[in-house]
Amino acid sequence: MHEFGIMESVVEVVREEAARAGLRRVERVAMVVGERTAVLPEALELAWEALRDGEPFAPGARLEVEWRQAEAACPACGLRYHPEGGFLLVCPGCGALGGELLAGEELRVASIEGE
Amino acid sequence: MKVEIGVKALGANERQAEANRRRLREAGWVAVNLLSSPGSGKTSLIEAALPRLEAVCAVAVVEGDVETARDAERVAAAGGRAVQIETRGACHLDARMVARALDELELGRPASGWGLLLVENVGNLVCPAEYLLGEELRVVLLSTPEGDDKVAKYPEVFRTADAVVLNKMDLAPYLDFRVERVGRDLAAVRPGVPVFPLSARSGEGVEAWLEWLVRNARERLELRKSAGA
Ligand SMILES: Nc1nc2c(ncn2[C@@H]2O[C@H](COP(=O)(O)OP(=O)(O)OP(=O)(O)O)[C@@H](O)[C@H]2O)c(=O)[nH]1
Ligand SMILES: [Mg+2]
Ligand SMILES: [Zn+2]
Repeated sequence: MHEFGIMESVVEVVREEAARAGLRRVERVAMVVGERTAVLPEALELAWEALRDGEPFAPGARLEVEWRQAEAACPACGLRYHPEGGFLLVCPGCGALGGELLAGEELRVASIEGE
Repeated sequence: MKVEIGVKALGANERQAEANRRRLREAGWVAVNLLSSPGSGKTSLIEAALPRLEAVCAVAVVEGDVETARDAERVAAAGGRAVQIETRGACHLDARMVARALDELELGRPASGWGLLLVENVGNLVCPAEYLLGEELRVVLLSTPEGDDKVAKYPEVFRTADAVVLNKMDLAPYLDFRVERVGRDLAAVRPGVPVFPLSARSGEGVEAWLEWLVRNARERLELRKSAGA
């Protein structure tokens, strides 16, 4: 995916939320990112360092990412499993295709910290 | 001080998309986001669809490309109303660009009661999937020369599709493209999504897709109206 575009939006969200909460120095931003978003950690960090510049970010403000594993539910047998090997959902129990993703698509700004 | 927010990372774009959707709905318009890799035939399909759609409703087109206004010129030459967005490097359209295009179009309530806004995204099978524009429907095109393995290779965009168009079926006899293989991958990625094999060039199959498009666009419009949302 597209870490720069995501980070542009994250920085905008942080600016808005910091203003709303009356924070003038943001020292830490926490995100939750699912493994199915195809976000690459290094690329996300790189975009963060390039974009978290100036108000309200403190110099050296940190990005902390909680990575979430994917979980799928089989439509045929109900098994909950970790989908392996790409984006196709194939149940390891019964081989059924498709089904619902319960987790792994998160892409959120969870919290901001500062003063 | 720590502030819990829990907002979507692409929340700013999603809010703008929602504003676009409302603005369109209030004027009686439904937007359709057309996505595919470069050259699958998005503009060709719009050209083929224009005269038939214009018999049913008002139509306007937003063309997204990295450079040039060529696609908007093609649509205008086919008698359509079009504005061009040149992204100047960006590999996808976002909701803000579409908002500016809406300013330019100044869509009023159509005499026919409702209108379809066809938004041709930048040719790219990856990034545009993440960006809502304010559309009610998403149509993803795949053309036969690209190969029948693209659903499995680029599943993200297909997972958000309301319909999948398989274009350039007139070339299928010269290629080893198998509609069944696409269907099998879609069953895993987007079960139940309608698939329309067609040829924008010959026009074969276009009617079935248009029938789906008009029916679903009208349904969305009615649904929103009665929900008041
Ligand atoms: N044989 C055949 N050629 C087609 C068909 N549809 C489009 N083409 C050709 O494919 C080429 C690309 O078509 P476009 O409509 O420009 O594709 P596009 O998806 O709009 O391309 P971009 O806007 O650059 O992403 C053109 O040369 C078309 O004439 C079709 O159904 N059959
Ligand atoms: Mg085009
Ligand atoms: Zn199963």
